[in-house]
Amino acid sequence: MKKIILLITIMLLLVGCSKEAKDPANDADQENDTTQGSNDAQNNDTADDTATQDHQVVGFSFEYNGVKVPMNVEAAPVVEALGEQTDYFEAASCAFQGLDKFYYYSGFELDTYPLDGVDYISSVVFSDDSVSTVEGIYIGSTLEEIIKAYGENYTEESGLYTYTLGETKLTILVENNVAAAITYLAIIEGLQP
Amino acid sequence: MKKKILINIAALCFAILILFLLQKLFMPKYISEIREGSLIAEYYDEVKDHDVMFIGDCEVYENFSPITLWEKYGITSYIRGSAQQLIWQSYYLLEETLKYEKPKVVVFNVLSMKYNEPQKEAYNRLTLDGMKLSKSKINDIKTSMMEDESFISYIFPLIRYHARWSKLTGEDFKYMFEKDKVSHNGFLMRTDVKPVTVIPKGKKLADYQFGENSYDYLDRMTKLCKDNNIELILIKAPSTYPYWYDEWDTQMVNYAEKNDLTYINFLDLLEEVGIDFSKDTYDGGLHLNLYGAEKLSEYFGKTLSEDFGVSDNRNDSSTAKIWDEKVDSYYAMEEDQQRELVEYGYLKSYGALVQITEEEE
Repeated sequence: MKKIILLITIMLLLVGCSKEAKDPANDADQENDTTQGSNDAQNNDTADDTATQDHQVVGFSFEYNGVKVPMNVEAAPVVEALGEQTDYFEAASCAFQGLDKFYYYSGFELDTYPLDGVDYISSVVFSDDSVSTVEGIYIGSTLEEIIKAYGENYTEESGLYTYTLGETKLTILVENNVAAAITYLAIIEGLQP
Repeated sequence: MKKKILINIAALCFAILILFLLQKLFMPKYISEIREGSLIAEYYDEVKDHDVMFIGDCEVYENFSPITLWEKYGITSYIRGSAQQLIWQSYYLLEETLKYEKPKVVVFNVLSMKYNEPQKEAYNRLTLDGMKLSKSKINDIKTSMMEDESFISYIFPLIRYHARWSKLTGEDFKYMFEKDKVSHNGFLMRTDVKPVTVIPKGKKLADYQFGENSYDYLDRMTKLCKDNNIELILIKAPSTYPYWYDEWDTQMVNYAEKNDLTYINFLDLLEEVGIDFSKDTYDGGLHLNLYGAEKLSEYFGKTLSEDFGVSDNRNDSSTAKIWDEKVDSYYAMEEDQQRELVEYGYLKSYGALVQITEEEE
């Protein structure tokens, strides 16, 4: 009898006092389980160490009209600095609160995700060859130019070349030996490129 | 000695009872927020006699109205849908459903073919926590779990939700043992309108081929239906986002042809169905609202009735009695939602809070 009472007491203590697990119902759009980047770009001069208001972010960063667009930083100041967008779209998830937002500019699209009520930049997607990366790569650059700019420390699958730096990725889809699509990505659990 | 054993047994039963009550209390109730979490469990209270079963993600539970199918064609149907339901979850839900009833037709939305691996625990929970314990659920859990999840936490959800003790609300106590229904035979109603303004273009992909895991479960679903003499209809709902690539569509067309199935891409039939994206969606084209869902259901009901011979049950008095109550409840909710739209400008009690807040900002 005493053992059973002890067992109940222990179980109740465990229920109330164990390490707090995040409630998945509040967590779906709020988790930001970033993984550490496993590779550095071969040429460190090609990567930006970018400080943000809230935290240091090491990774790839896009730049447009003098405005730096790092990944996984608060979106609002960047969107404001970029000026008026040509279009805007927002997508609610199947169930959870918060919106993924898509800002369209001339030559690229900037996507955000919500975390604790704040929007963070999840990706930048090039839409045409009017914009380029900081390292000068654009839609239409050759594979040789890409490797010259970023090095050989990439993974490749089905023509998709992926460079990882810190909490970011730069993916370049190569078709017929030229870049067909270029995307900057923040490394976030559940983020579909 | 005997007395001692009995006391110990009684104490053990008491301990189990306490844990059972705590689990009931700590589980999220999904009534005023994230109503989608209630969908799977609601099925078990139904009279299980449906000629058509829909399975899949939010593109089924937001886009088809079983009440319209009943009113226009006498078709009895249920939507076993859940948020971001993955294809293996659809398979195991179907497998489980067939233990309760044998519909004539199963309708599966193919968007989930794009997810070859488990995605997010939060979505897993919305599907799996509502399932009753069964072999299908066990297999579903094993297939769905992310790396950092534990199987035992799905069998005893108290392990997962115990930390909610600090977030309990009146709703948790009120709905500990019984909950109000949030859906209409699995359909989640939204009467608000947010027109389509932008249709995002699809991003270029390196590989458009659906994964092996997805095809494996589609094969299993096809076989399960064939073995049970059930017509399986594959559909792509008329949602503008996520983008549905031509390359994906071709795969489904080919699969259906190879397996002697019907595949309907409603994105190609918008004009025929009469979908007006300035009025028929509540979130800019991702999902239809009530009016869009009724149009789509009226169109699809004709196909079910004429091409698949699904019966008109309106002359069956016992069935009609059950559905008359459902119809009343449906229109009562529509009226209530319309009232909230007038009073608050948005669906305050129906999970629309954040979107409207964003717009107001």
